[in-house]
Amino acid sequence: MKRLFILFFILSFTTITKAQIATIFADDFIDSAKTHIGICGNYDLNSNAFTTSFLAKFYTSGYIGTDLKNSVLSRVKNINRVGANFNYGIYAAFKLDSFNHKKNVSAFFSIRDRFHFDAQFSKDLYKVGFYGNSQYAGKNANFNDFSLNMIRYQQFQIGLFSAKLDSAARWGIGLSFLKGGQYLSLLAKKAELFTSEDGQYIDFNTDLYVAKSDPAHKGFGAFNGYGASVDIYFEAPFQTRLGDSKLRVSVADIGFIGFNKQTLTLKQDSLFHYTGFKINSFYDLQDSTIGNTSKDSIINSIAPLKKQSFSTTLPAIFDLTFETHFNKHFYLIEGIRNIFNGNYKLMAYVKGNFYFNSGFMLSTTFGYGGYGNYIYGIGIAAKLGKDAVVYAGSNNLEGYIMPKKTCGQGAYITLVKQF
Amino acid sequence: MTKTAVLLFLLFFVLFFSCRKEIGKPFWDTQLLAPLVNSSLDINNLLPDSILQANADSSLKIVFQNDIYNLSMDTLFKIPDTTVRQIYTIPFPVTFIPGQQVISNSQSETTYNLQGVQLRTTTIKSGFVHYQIKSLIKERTNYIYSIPCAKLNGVPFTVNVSVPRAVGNLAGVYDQTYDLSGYIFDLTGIYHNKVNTLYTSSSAMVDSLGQPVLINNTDSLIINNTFHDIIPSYAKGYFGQKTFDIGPSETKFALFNRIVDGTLQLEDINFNLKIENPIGLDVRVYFNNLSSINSRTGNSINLSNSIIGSATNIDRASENGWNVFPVVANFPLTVSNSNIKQMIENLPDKFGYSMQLIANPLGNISGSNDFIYSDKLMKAQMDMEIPLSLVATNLTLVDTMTLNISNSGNQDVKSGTITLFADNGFPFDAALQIYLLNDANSIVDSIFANTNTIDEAPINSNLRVIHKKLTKIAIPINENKMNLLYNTKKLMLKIKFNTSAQPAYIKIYSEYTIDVKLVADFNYTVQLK
Repeated sequence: MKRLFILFFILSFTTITKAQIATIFADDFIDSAKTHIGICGNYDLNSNAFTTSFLAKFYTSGYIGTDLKNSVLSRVKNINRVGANFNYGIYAAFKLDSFNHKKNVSAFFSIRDRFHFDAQFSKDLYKVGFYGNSQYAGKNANFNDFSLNMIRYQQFQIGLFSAKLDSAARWGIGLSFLKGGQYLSLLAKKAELFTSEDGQYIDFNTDLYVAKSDPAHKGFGAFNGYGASVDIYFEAPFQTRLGDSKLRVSVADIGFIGFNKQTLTLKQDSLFHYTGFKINSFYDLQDSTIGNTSKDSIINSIAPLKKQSFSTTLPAIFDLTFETHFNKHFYLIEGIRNIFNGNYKLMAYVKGNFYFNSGFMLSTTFGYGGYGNYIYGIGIAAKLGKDAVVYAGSNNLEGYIMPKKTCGQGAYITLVKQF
Repeated sequence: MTKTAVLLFLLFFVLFFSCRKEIGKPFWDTQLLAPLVNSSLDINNLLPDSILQANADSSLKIVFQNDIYNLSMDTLFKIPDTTVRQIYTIPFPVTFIPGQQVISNSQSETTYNLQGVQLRTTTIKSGFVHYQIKSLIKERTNYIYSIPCAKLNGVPFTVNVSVPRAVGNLAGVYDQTYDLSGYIFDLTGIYHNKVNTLYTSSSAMVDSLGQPVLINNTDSLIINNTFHDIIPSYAKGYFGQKTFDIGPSETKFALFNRIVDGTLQLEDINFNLKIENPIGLDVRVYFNNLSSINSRTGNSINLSNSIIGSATNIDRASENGWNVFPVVANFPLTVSNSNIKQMIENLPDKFGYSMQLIANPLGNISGSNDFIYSDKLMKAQMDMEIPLSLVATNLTLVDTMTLNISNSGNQDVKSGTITLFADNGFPFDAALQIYLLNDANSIVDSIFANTNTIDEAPINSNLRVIHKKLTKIAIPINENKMNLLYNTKKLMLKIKFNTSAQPAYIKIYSEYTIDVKLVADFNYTVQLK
């Protein structure tokens, strides 16, 4: 898991995959008011700094040479982002006979495994990490505003939504119980590494906050805390001179998870002045003396971790789209998307849905923002027989097409069966 | 078609996870600049194994002590292993009833031959008696075995044992070893008129719960007492008039062990040859020879002083209860009464000695009250104080250090430069070299291409250091040398000292230090674990 975490730190992920609740409202080729079940999964990764080639080498192991490092260095800016999501789960929705004396209300539930990672880092951090600090002799390396978040949890969601009516607005709300698995957060508002001109000392000035869930319990089965979240969806149809239109807005994952008392935390605002290992004799000048000081004991001595309960808010996803039906074969969707509390840059995108016939739709996406820069996507929706639909595609093709220059990649697939 | 879609969905996950396989260990090169070690070393760190003391003016002196010879109890006497065999027979057949005595308080003395030593009492530090009985009596017999002259807390050693009946010609046997540690033995015999003599007592009777038994004249009882591994912690008596020729022999002298070359001139030296006698025994000592031996140069210097060849009487120690008051004889050797300065400046690694000890030269004048404790030995030792006011000329110290640089896969230092920053506060320079040794302790390479010298601190007219002086020495280590270091298990450090303002003697003061820092600027391959 540690390696996976480091991998994700280096990797970058992004998505404009629909917010979790919005998946349930998908109504291309199916009637969402009817009882239906679905299984879905998606992953996405992006960065405005790393490239796919770099990440591939990192992931598959091997030597990361200077050319590869330089290719990333040419992309690295003062502030850089990486992000990743990996989710999969099942859901079911069915129409209620009535709800509070109202017809056309459906209920749904879903179970999902959720993973999210994001980080923000400076150019200097990349340079020190992959080139060393020698180039900073007599200078400050600025790691300020470094931020890293990783969370994995399982979600059990129940909710209600209004069934489809062509001329009326739709709404939906979902409440979730969350089982907290793993969590790691590092936040360094201030982090500066100064290497003296002749290397006789190194100063590390940092204002650091760290929280890490119980390291003894990891993986899918880890139960290190619990929490709750809410998802809200609203869709309003209206007419424009261009044709039928819809305004959709959704917010997802507004919630928190409280991790238990085994969570390791650290709040440190200190200047570390390092002048080398202190020895007391010439005869201590050997590896057996120096090397016996473990990294853990050093870290523990300068930055003692404290066990205490800890609560964190989830990265919350906001999505706003405006959909125009130019004709029965072409819909245009403009949207913006943001992930709050996730080192995300507001993304703007446009998406075109091309309906070739009553059973097949092709969509293309273009956008800017998120964890990367420009994104390009393509997807399909296709009927599978009479009552099943598959949605599949990728909202980040750029990393596959130009692996040496870009990073974004991802894929999603949802299979829905209605009854 | 639906089935196909489900399969596609499953395939998506299978492919995703199968592609991950085992995440590898990527690695890349970095150039790191970091301090490795730092230290502020005083003279204590440069002269290990020595005890430094500061004088009132904060100048330092080495205080050193070295044993020459220890006279142990073994040298005076040793109690040998001894077996006493007693055979009991009945002259004519008699029927014994249960409870009737067969042997009644049969006492037996054993006298040790200790070659002139006449012990009256001894306390056993460790030792055993092995008690064995072989009985041909056709009934169980019970014995009381005691050593009346051996007491622990005032109670004589006594054991009750039972010996099984003989079956046919097969004797009943009892066999047991008893620990005698802590017992005090009175060695004056049954009637307290002997020396070196202990005695035992045995009684035997037919088991009171047994049957009447006919004992023939062939039904013998054989009792073996074996005293073995007897080591006294204390002994008293007359230890005899004996002459011990000690040596010629040598004793190691570690103070200059690390010096391999150069000369050292000392302004002064206080040397005391001391004999401490904690034994209740008069001793006459003749020093035949004391010599300073430098094995490296082959140079040997004999002591020139009036104690050589002269007789010196050392009185006996006294005791009061368990307290011992030793007698100490001192033989001060100074620059003015001996050539001890030359002997020390010879930088000896051992001292040779030859002497003669005569115990009780006047005979038994203590009334057999000589005493000795096993943990209080007569010893001859050298005490010396060497003021650190010296002239060192190419004085070269060598020491070896173990090295264990782990080489874990790709995560290594490839090459680079290590810079030594030495801020020297001592009034001497130090030429430094570090050698790499192979398993046979042979030099295979050196760290420095050339010898590098740490400059001496400047001194004033009083020959005291004014301030420290910084020397910066860069040590380039290429990839070949780094690989050699990974495979090297031992390093040899060689430092050559030269004091300032020669030929003046320079004092070393307690506040003198050298600040050392090693800074590495190296190509390091990072590998994630």
